[in-house]
Amino acid sequence: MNPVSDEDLVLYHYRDGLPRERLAEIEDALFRDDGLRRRYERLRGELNAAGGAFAVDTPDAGFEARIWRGVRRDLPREPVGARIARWLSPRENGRLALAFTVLAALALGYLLGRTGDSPTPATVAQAPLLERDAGSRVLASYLAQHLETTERALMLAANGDGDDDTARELAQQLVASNRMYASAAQRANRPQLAAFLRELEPVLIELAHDDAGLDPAELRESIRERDLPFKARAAAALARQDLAPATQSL
Amino acid sequence: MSEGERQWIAAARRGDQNAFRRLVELHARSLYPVCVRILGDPALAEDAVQETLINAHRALDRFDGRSSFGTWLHRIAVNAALGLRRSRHPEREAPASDDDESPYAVVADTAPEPAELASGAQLGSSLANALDELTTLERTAFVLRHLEQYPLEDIASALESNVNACKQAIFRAVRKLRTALAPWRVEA
Repeated sequence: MNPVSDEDLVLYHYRDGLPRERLAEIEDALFRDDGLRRRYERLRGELNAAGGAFAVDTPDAGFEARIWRGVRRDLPREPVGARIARWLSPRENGRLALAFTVLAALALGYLLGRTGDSPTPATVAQAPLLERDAGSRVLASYLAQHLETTERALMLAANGDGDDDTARELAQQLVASNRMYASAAQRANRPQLAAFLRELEPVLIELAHDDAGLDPAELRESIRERDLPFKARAAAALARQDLAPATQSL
Repeated sequence: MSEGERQWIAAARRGDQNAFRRLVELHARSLYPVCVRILGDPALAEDAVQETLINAHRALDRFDGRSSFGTWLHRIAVNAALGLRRSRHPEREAPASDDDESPYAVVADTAPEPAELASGAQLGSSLANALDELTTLERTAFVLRHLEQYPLEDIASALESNVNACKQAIFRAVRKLRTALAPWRVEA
């Protein structure tokens, strides 16, 4: 048998790059030869130590978000067909259903406003938000959800803890429906709520587009100064109360 | 590969960015170690992961599903890291010859004092110096064989080289690393 070199031992260690017969020869020699076995054990120890020099620290929690930000900048613009397909996907059906429900509730509110008995101003002022029918209750429930999600997006943006992508994604979902809720609140004679929702719109638009005008730090400051997350939480709480048979106004 | 991943790949091919984002979130972290090991620089490794995923997005139509999506990405990551290393360290391209100075010559100059040996304080820096001495081919071949368990055939393919050249690169890398460890060697 040919003498076993260090190179042979390296390839034997990886079980790669040697013919099967040579591997068997080395295996046999290691069994019989104490000196060779010591050489191999030393090589193994040194390879392990050398491998330790390549130890890698785990990336921090914001790693994926940073990577995605960089990747997204280089991706081609999403085709319209893909966006429609996304809306029709099972995951997005809930969002689609919500939009239809809101539209249906708005239409219902519009019809009731035209054909129903006209309430006196005092009745409207005391009435819970859109409590006139079941459709309105559904709308109030969605409005509460909308405001809670808005609060979450605002909190993420205001904290600036690196999860800007999540805030942006949430804002993108909220922008389209926010205007509808503002109209619904106006029709339900809730001018303060409608005004608050209209106040939110430019903020959500800024949040939804990272290439929008405001610097992220300015936007953060503006959200904090105007106490928008707290206001959104308060409005959501009131909308939830409106689902109960109580009279409360924003 | 899970059904969800399959669906995200199909949707990403149609241009759905959200689907591709899911794939990024699923795989980016697992691509990072090999990039750090090849590049030796965490910040550059992040750039390499990013480049990997951009390249993967462009090549999605060429993913044929014969390997897992993670394996496919891993190979793209090796190429991205290698490309980045070559562009940053062109001086490390020249393959070292087997007839270079004696591997133990370096040790003679840098041999640690007994106290340092006892504490092992110099071991890390000695290994780090040895890693710096490796050419791109030696370092990548060793990383792929020893740490990423690539077969030699695949290493040759990744490095656009041949199996024998990769073997020689691994032998040189091992020799240099063992030389750095020689002062700490305890004879049985």
